[in-house]
Amino acid sequence: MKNSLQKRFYLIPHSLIELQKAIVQHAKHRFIAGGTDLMPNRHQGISTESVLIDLSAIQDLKGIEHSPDSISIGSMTTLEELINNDSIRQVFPLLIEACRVVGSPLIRNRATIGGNLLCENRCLFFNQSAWWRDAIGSCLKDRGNHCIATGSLTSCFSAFVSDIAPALIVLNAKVEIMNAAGENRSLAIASLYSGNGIKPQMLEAGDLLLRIVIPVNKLKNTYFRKLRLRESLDFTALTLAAGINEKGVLRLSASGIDPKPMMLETQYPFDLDAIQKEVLKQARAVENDMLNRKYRRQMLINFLKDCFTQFKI
Amino acid sequence: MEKLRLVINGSAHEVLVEAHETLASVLRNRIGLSGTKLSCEQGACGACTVLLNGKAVQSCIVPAIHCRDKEILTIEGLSLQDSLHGLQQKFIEKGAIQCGYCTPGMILTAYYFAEKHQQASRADIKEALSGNLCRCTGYKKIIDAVAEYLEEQQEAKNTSEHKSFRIGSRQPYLEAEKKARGTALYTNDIPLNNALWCKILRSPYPHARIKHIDTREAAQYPGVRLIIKGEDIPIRFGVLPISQDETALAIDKTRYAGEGVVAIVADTEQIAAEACRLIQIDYQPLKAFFSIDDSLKDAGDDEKIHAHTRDNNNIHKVAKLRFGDQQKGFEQSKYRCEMSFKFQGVNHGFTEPHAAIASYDEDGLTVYSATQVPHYLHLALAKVLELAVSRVRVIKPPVGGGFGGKSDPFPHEIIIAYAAVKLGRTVRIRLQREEVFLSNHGRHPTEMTMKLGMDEKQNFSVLDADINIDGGAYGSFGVVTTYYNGVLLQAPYNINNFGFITRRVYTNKPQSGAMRGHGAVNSRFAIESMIDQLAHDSAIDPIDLRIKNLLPSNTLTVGSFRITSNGSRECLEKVKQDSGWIQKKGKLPFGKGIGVASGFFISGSALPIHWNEYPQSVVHLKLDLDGRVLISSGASDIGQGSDTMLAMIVGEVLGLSRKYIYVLSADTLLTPIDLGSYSSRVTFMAGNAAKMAAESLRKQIIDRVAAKFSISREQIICAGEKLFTSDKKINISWSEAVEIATRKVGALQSTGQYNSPKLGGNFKGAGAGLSPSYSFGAVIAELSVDISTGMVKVDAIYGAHDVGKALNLLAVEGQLEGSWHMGLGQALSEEMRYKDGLLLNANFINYKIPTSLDTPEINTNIIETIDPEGPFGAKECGEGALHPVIPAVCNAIYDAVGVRIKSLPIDPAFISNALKEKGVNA
Repeated sequence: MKNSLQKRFYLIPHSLIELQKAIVQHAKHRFIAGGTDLMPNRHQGISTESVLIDLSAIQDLKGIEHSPDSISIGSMTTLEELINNDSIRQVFPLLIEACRVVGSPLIRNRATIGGNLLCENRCLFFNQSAWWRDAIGSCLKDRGNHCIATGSLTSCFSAFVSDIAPALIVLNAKVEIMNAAGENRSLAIASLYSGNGIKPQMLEAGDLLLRIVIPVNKLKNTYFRKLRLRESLDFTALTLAAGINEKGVLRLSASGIDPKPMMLETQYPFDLDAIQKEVLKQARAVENDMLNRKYRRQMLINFLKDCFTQFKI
Repeated sequence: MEKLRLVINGSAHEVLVEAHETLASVLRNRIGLSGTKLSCEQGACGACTVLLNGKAVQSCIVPAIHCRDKEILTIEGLSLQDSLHGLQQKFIEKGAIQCGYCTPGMILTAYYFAEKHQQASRADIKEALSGNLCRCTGYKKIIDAVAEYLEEQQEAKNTSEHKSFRIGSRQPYLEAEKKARGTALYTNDIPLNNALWCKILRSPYPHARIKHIDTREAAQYPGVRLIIKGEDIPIRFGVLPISQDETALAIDKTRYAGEGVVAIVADTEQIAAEACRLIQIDYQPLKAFFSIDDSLKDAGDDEKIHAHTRDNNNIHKVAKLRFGDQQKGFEQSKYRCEMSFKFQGVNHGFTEPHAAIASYDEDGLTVYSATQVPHYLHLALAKVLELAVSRVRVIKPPVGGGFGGKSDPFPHEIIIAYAAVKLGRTVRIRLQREEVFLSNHGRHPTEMTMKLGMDEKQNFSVLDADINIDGGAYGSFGVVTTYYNGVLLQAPYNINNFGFITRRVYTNKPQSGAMRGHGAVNSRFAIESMIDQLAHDSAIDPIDLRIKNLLPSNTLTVGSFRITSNGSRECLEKVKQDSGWIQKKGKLPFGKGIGVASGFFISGSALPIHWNEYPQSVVHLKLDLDGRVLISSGASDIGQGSDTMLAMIVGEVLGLSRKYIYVLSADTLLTPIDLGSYSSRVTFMAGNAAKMAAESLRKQIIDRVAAKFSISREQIICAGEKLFTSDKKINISWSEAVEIATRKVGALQSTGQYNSPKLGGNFKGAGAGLSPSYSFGAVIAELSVDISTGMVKVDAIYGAHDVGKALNLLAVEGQLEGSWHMGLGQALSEEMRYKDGLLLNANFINYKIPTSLDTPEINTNIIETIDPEGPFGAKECGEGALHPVIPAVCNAIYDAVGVRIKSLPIDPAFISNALKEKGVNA
C-alpha cells in the first residue's frame, strides 16, 4: 500500500557519471537491463523498488571488444547480438549454445548477458503473485520465516537459473564490477554468487556489472545441455556446461540445481566417482521445481556421464 | 505522471504515463491501439509483441519510458493504407488465424523474422516463433503461412488463387482480416467512456468460514464506488439446472483458495486493486479436502464442502450403468487386462483471459462477455439479479478461444452486472492469467481402474470401468462429465457386456468442468492403452485388433446410441497407410516407437440442458433490396469459425459468394437463441437451421421469379450469383432477382430451426451421450524417447477424423490440428499442480502449453462419410480428434521402450526409472 503512494522514478542515465549521480540521489534503487527477468517479477510484486535505473543508454556497457588474449563483452549486450556475432561464434561456440537456450527468441531480443548472470533465483513457491505468497504464508526469500519447500527456518534453496553462467564459468570468464564509489574490481564469475537463496549475489548496493572478459583459451572439447520439458520458454531445471583443454584440465559447471552455480575443476587422470560425489554434494536441489529433486540430481549424473562419453573420458 | 514521446507506426505521440507503466499498457490504454493483446503479462506467451526500433519485443515486459523517442511498430502499423502486408495476407489465406488473439503478436514476430531471412527451413521458422503461444492451430498453418510468404518473396510468384465460396472450399474466416489487422475488438478492447473497473478479492484459504469482513477502510479510499459481498448477490447459479451450487461471491464460507469473497468497483482498475488490499477478512480455517480418496470417505466431524450432498461425505454425483452380463463376459475372456490410471487436471489455456462489460440503462442490462454461451449467461443473469429475461441482453464480441473454459456463467460476469444495475454505470472487468487458472472449469483430475476382456477370437467380451473424478469446489458441467466418462466408452468398439460407475467428488480446489473432448478423454486413454496391451499380449497388430472390433455404420450401441455414418475403419486404414505403419511397427530401433489409438465423440448433445420444447438452434435470414442476406444466429463463434460456416451454408443454398452475406451472431436481443458453443453441436445444429432458413428463402425468391416469368419453379437454379434455367430462358443476376422478389412486399425473411430427433433407450441415464450423430477418428504417433533422461519427443502425428463432410476445409483442418496439439499438451507437459490447495502453476511459465518447437509435424487426413442428418453431411470436428492422440503417444512409448504409461502428464522421471529398472539406463 505504501509503495503505491511512494513516488516512482524511471531514470535513464546516459553515462556512468550520470548513473553515479542517480545512485547517490536514490540510494534505494534497482537496475534494469533488458527487463525480461525483472519485469515479470514486478508484475508479481516480487520486486517493488520505487526507483528503476535503466542501463540501456550507457555506451560503456555495450559492445564486444577483442584483444589477442581475451574478448570483452559489455554487460548490456543482448543475447541476440551475441548469437549473431561471428567472432563469438568462432571463438566461444559454447557461449552461443548457452545463449540460444535462454527463454525464447522474443526474450533473447531484450535479455542481456549481464542481466542473465544476475537474474533472480527462482522457486515454485516464490515466483508467485502477492496474493499467492500471502496465502501460503510467505517464505524466507519473501518476508516470511520459513522455507515452504523444506520447512527450514534458516536456509533458502531458490534455484540459480542462468544458463549462461555455467558456460562462462567453464570458459574461465571474469566480470568487471564498478562500485558506487566508481572503483572497479575484477571477479571470477563464480565469486558473484553467495549460495544463499535469499540474497544470491555477492554484490553491494550500487555495484554495477560493467563487462565480462573471457580469456581466449583453447578448449579441446565442450559440452552443453539443458533439461526442460519444453524446447522453448522454460527456465532450466538443470544446465550442465563442461570444457576440457589440451592439458587435460576439465571444468564443469551447472545451474538449476542449487542457489549458486555448481563448479568443479579437475585434471587428468579423472576420478569419476569422486567427480560424481562432488557434483552431487554441490547440487542442493530441493522440491521447488516442476521436475522433482531426485530426478534432477539423477539427470545431473546422467548428463555428466553423457559428457564423459562425448569427451571420450 | 511523466511526459513521454513515442513514435508509433510513424506518428509521434506525446502521452502522460506512470513511471513504471509497461509499453503494452500505454499502447492499449493511452494510445488506444488495442491490437496489442495481453494474455500472460509475464513475457511467456508473445501475444503483446511489437517491434521496438525494429526488434520484436514483448510489450508487457518493456517499461514505457525505456521507449522514449523510440520507434514502435504495432500490428495496426503493419498494413499500409488499404493493402495488407504479405504476411497478414498469408495468415488469412492459409487459415493461420482461428481465435485471432495470438495473431497480432505472431504476425509481428514472423515479420521480424522475415525481414532478416530471405529463406528459411520449417525448423528455422518453428524456432523463430517459439516464444509465441497459440492454442488453436497447432502452429501448422502458421508455419505454412510464413514459409509460403518467404517462398513467394524469393520467387516473386503468387500462389493466391481466387477462392470459391462453395461448400468444401478452403475459406478463411469472415473476420480473419480484422484479426490480422488487429482491429477485431475483443471484449477488453472495446473502448468505453467513463466506465468503472471491478477487481475481485480472493480467498487465501481453500476451506474456511468467513467470520467477519471489514470494508471500512476500503470504502473510504478515494475512487471506490461500490463494495460487494457474497450476501449482496445470494441467489445460486450453475450451468446445469441440477447443479445450482455456486454464488457470485462466497457466502459464509470459501470452498477453494482463489474463490471471490469481496468485489470492489472503482474509478480505475488500479484503485480497485489497491482498495482490495485494505479489506480485512477474518477467516476460520476448516479441514480442507484435496484428494478424491479423502472426499469419498465419511467426513466424520469435519464440515462437508457442501451441505447438500446426500451422505456425510463429499460425493457430488454417482452415475452407473450396466449392459449385458459382465460376469459372463469375464468368463468368456481368454485375455484379460486390468489397469489403474491417474490423470492430473488440465486447463483450457485459451489466450484471451476472461473479460466482461456490463451497463444498465432504460433498455435494461447489457453484458458483453467473452463467453461461449450467451444464452445460458442470459438466463443466469436474469435469475441471479432477479430481472425479467426481457430486460437482459448478452452480446458476445470476438472470443480469444474457449475450449469449454468459457461455457459456464461466471461469477465475474454476474458481479459486474450487479454493480451496473446498482450504480447505473458501465462496469468492466478483465481477469489476469492467474485468475483465469483459478476460475478453471478445466478437465477433471481423474483416477480409474478398468478391466477389459477379450475372447479367443479376439473379440472384446467385456469392459468394466470404475472411475472417480475430482470436481473441485462446484458443480459446473460435472454431472454430464460423470456420465460421459462411462457412456462414451460404448463405441467405436462392439462390447456387449459393458458397465461403469463414476463418482464425482467435491474437493477444495478450483472447480473442474467441460474441456475439449469433454468427459471422455481420460477414459478413452485408458481403454486405448489396454487395447494396445491386449494386442501385444495376444500378438495381433493393434490396428487389426481395433478394426476387428469396430461397430458398423447404421447400428445401435449396447446403450442405444444410434450410430449412423461411421468412418472409424477408414480413419484407421488411412493413418496406417499415411504413417508407413507396416514398415515401422515393432521394427524401429530401441528408443523409437509408433503407436495407434482410435476415438469417438458426440456431434452435439441431443438433449438440451434446459428441458423445454424450444429448438436447439434457430437461424433467421433477412433479404432486402441491397441484395445482401443478413444471417442472424445465436451461435457463438469463439474462433472455431461458426460464423463462416453459417455464411457458407447459406451461400451454397442461394448460390452466393461472401460479398452478399453478412453474419450477425451471438446477441441475445438481435439474434434468435442458440444454445451455445459446447458439445461440438454448432455445425450440426445451427448449420442445419441455417440450411433450412436458406432453403425457405430460396423458395420465396424462386416462387416470385417463377410467377413473374410464368415458368415452373422447379426449372430455376440459384448458382453463381444468378437465377437461371438450364435452357437460359431466364438468366438474371442476383440483384435483379432480389428486385423482383421484393416488389410490393419489401424485405424477405425466413427462419430455420433444428430440433434433434427422439433418440435413446428407456432407462435412467439413457439420455447421457445421445447425439444425432457421432464422429470417429484415429491417430498414429511416432516418437523418440531419450534413454538418458526419459524425455519424450514426438516426431510426427498422423491423424484422421471422420467429419461427415468438411464444409470449410481450412476450418476443419484447423480444428483437427488444434485438437491434436492440445492433446499433446495433456500428454507431455500440462498439469494443474497444487500445494495445500493452492495452484502452483497459474501462469504460462509453469503451465506448459507446447510451443512450436514442441509440436511435431502433423499429417492431417479428413475422412468424409456424408452424415445422413448433418448439413450437407457434416458433423463434429472440433473436439473428438483430441481423444486418440494421447493414447497413441503413450502406446508409441510402449513400442519404443516397453514402458506402459498409466499416469498423465507423462513423467520423464517415471520413464527414466523404469528404464533403470530394466537395466537399460545406466
